[in-house]
Parts: sequence; C-alpha cells; structure tokens
Amino acid sequence: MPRNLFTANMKLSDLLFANYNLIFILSRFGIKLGFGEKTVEEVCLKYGVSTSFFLMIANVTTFENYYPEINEIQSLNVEELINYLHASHIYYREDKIKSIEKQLNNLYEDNKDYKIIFNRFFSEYKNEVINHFDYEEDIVFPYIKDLMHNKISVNYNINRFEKNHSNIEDKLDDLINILIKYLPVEGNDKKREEILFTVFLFSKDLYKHNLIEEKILIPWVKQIEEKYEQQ
Amino acid sequence: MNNNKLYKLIIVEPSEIIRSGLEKLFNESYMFRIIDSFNSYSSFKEGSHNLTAEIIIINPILIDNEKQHSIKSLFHEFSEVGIVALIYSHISSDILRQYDGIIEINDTFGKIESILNSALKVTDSKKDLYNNHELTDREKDVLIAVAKGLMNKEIADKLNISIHTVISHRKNITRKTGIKSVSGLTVYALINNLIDKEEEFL
Repeated sequence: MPRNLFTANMKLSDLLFANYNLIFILSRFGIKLGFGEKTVEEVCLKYGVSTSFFLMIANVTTFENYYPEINEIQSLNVEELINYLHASHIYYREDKIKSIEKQLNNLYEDNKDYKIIFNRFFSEYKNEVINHFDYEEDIVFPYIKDLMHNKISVNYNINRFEKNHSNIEDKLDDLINILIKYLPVEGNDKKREEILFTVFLFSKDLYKHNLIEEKILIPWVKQIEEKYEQQ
Repeated sequence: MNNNKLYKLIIVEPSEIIRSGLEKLFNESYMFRIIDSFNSYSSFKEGSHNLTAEIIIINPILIDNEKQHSIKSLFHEFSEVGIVALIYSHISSDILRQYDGIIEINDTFGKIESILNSALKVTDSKKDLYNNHELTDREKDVLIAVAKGLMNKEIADKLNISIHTVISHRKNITRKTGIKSVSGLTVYALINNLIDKEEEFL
C-alpha cells in the first residue's frame, strides 16, 4: 500500500499534476478550476466539501491497491458518498455515453454497415449501463438512505447488491480491442484515435467508480447492517 | 484491465520492503503479475484457497524446520504450480534442490523473469498456445456460433463436440482477441466477415 498519499495541506493543483484523471472528479464535488495556490483543505472548505472524503476519493482514484481502512469508512458521511456517486452517474449518462455514441456514429460516415454494427453494439451497452445505474439509484441508494434514518428493510440487504454488482467496463475494453486491432484501415484515423482516448479514460473512470462502490460503499453498509443484527 | 494473458504469481515473503519491491517490479512485467502476497506460511495457507496461480514464490525460512525437506508434499495440492524459492540468507542445497527455481536477492529483474519462465509447469503445448494469437479454424466455428447467439449446449450439439471443449475454445478466443463479451465477439465476427449482417439480425 502506498504511504505517500495525498494530504490536506498539499496544493490542489499538485494533485491534478500527479493524476490528471482527477480533473473529472472535481465537478462531481462542485469544485471549479482556477483555485490558484490553494491547498486541498482550503478549496474543500470553500466549496463545503469534507476534506477527508475528498482525499479518500482522490487517493482511491489515484493509487492502485489503496483502499481506506474500516475506521475511516466508519466515520464517513455516507450521504456525501451517495451524492458523489449520483453526480458520477449523471456525468456518465449525460456526458460520456452520449459523446462516445456521437463519436462512434461519426467514425464511418460513409460505411453504412459499420455504422449499423457499432450503433447496435453501443446501444446494447448503453442499455446495460443505464440499467446498472438505475438499479443503484432506485434500489440501493434509497435502501442506504433508509438505513441512515434507522429504517431497516427486511426485504433487502447489501449482499444482494454485492453479488449482482456487474462489471460494466468489460464491453468498453472489448470496444478498445476492436478499435485498436481489428477495424480495417479505412475512414478517418484522427476520429478513431479520439474515440480510443475517450473510451480508455471512460473505462478507467468506471473501473474506479466501481471500486469506490465495492471498497467504500459496501463496507460502510455492511458494518451498519452488522450493528443492527447484533441488536 | 487486460491481464488475462499474464502468468499469475503468489508471493510468500516476510519482509514488507521486499514484497512491495517485487510488486512494483512485476507491475511492469509483460509476462507475470502478482495476484496476492502473504507475510507468512500460515496466512498463505488460510488465504490462498480461492487463488489460482502458475507460480508461488516463497522464502524457505518461512517453512518450519521439520518440513523444510518435504516441500513437494507440503505443496502437493499445487502440483501444477511452479514453486520458487526466494533467498537472501544461507539455505542448504539439499533443501533448495526441491524447488523449481531459486531467486536470489541480487538477481536482476531480467534474470528473475527467466528463472520464473523455466519454473512454469504449463506444458510446452500450452506455452505454444500462449504464444499463438491467430484463431484456429475450430475457434472460428465456435466464434461464429457465439456471434449468432447460440448457447454453449447448442454449439456443442451443432459442432459435435463436448460442452467442455466449447468452453475451452471460448476461453482461447477471449485470450487471443482480448474480447470478452458476446456482443464484442459479434462485432469482431462481423467486421472480419465471418458472418453476414443479415444472418446476425435474424
């Protein structure tokens, strides 16, 4: 596990230089660029974001194999986590997926066959991802919010979510494979390169998003469920 | 990500410095990847049940004295797995002889990779398979059937092979192409003209 994690008194800009993927998470916290030399803590304070939660997300996003300890997870304000995940869902749905769809559609403007093949592949993927998010938004998050307010459901527990929590990056990795290795050389190389970059970044983002759910959200819920079981 | 072509390693070593050093080195490797590491033999025993690896790298000092001479029986359940010793203190050659390879602390990473490579117990034909990336005709047949939406059982009946064989062909297709999902494989089949668009839309 890395010991040199990001800390509260580092300059926020230094975090972004260390890992530019963090640019995508700022807006999910409502943080705007242009924060000058301000530290993580100062910026978090300004935007009303919990510094420890921001650091947790930034560290998990950046450091491979780093996950917070259970005592850090216990002291988490889970509402903040759910808001973050919700903001990510909106961003994926309204921004990323739409832009990949558009880029794929423009890739082979003249080749109707490819157009149909990729449209069909991607719309299938899109449905799968949207179902995945909808399930979390409609079932899992409300269940957790109930738990926070001491309402315990007898019909549901987080194990059911954990078991069915499917991997949604695999198909993107398939798309990457196809774009890199198998699509014949015709059409616009620039467009192909651009899609590849977008899909690579999106796949990595989703992977970390799932990790946050599996290594932070689920453990948080489990320890609450255990407390209720003991009572 | 795309780690399915890498041989998997388990490390059993008391020193955290050495464990993390190895992890760092193997992160860059194109052949091997560490899937888990343990700091003692007992934690390895407890934690390794669900892990499948091609090689276990273990520091012999972690094994009780009286068992030092019966490594083979100690690891009998890992008969397909290469057992490699990692040493930085003197260990008698009687003991070391039982291992499939010996890594010394001063070895370069290149040397370590080649020691591990020769410790691999995958058969030569399996090694060839790892190195051959073109789909065989039979794999193409299976791929076409998958792309047409057939289930494993239906594919087995159609091609007159066992379900087990179908599954193993599918694994090889995924290993070679890197494509896991049925819809990804369908796109592959379509752009390689293995199936017609019309056929697939039926």
